[in-house]
Amino acid sequence: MKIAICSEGPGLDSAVDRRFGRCPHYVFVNSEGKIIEEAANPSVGASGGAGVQAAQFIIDQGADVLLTGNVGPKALAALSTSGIKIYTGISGSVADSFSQYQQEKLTPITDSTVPQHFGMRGGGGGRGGGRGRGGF
Amino acid sequence: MILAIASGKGGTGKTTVAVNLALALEENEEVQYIDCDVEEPNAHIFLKPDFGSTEMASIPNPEVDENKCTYCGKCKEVCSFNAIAVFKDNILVFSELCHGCGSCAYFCPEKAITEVPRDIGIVEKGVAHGIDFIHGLLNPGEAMSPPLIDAVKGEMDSQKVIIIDAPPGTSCPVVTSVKGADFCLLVTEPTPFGLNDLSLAVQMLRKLDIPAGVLINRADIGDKRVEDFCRREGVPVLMHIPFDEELAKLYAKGEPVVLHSSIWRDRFRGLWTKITAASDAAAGKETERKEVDAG
Repeated sequence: MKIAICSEGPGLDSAVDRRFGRCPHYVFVNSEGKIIEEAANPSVGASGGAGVQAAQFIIDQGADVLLTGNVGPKALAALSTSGIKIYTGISGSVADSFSQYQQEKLTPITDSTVPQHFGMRGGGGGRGGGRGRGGF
Repeated sequence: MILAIASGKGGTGKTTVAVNLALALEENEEVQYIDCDVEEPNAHIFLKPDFGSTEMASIPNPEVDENKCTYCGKCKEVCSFNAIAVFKDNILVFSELCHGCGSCAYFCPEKAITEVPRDIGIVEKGVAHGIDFIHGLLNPGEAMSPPLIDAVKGEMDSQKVIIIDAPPGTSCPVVTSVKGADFCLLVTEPTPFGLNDLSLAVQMLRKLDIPAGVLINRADIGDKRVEDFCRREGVPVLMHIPFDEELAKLYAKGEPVVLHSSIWRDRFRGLWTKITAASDAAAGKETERKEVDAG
């Protein structure tokens, strides 16, 4: 089990970043919450298509689960092809968000939670909140 | 002669100047008006052309034959715009990110990608007051304006005096519009905002190696810093247009001033004389520079 978490930097104590395509860092943990891998987001500075590229990256890394704040429509379209489970609504640190996942406090999603280009504006103006249907 | 009329800042009077210049020249020259502001074209409001033809403009987008695709990922690697995602048994194309460069089809080892046109807007051609008029209309929500601008510019007739009305700013659509021009007239206003964006536009034109001159609109308001900037940077100021109630009233009615005033027609003809002189001087310097470089 490989869980990808969107963060501001490396380590379990780093704050999470609620953007998917343009978060600076990804921390990958196992089902015990131990770090198995860390990586800077290669698409953080992409002029366009950051969500698509980030989805490609996360899937290429072999992640089974993604914990994020929000996910846009193009990223979701790309992520959906792989069967990765996506949960939104993380907050606090990387370790906090793993606990939120374990305690089933996050929202599993099948629909995008923000419009495209959301991450480029540095937040604000999105729909937010997720539209969970459960059933994963 | 290809003259581009541009500005860093929006709303400085590019179209007003371009339209009046075109009309002032039309009596003695064959003039072509190319409105490259495809996101919000508005020169037709002044010139009221009769449009004779409309053509669709498109960009090529990849279409993948999944029977041939082996999901090797080469197309994704060569795409600079993240328009393709490839997974172990799946491939996705994001058309709205595609710039139509054709690299994916070119590099696909299986020849699984063909390029199919995607409409991005239309090109309309017509005649107004004896001027050959061409503009483009980008589909709302479409991000890829440069290919449409190229399609509009594809209608240029080098036998004529070509006036290109560029969009504001200094990014891709503006670069696409002014590229290939012999001279660029930058329309600005004497305000801190006009100055800031003028200096960006001057830097852009230096990178493109296009000689520039400046027209200061609403010249009797604001401050002298635009003049100081032009002197310091060696960019000639070719015309001043005052902040004038009559001009504003005509503008408000969508009327070009040269159709109502022979004084203004002569002033715009005077501007053209200065533009051609400045363009010739710049071309002369360029030849000199090349001769020096050649030893």
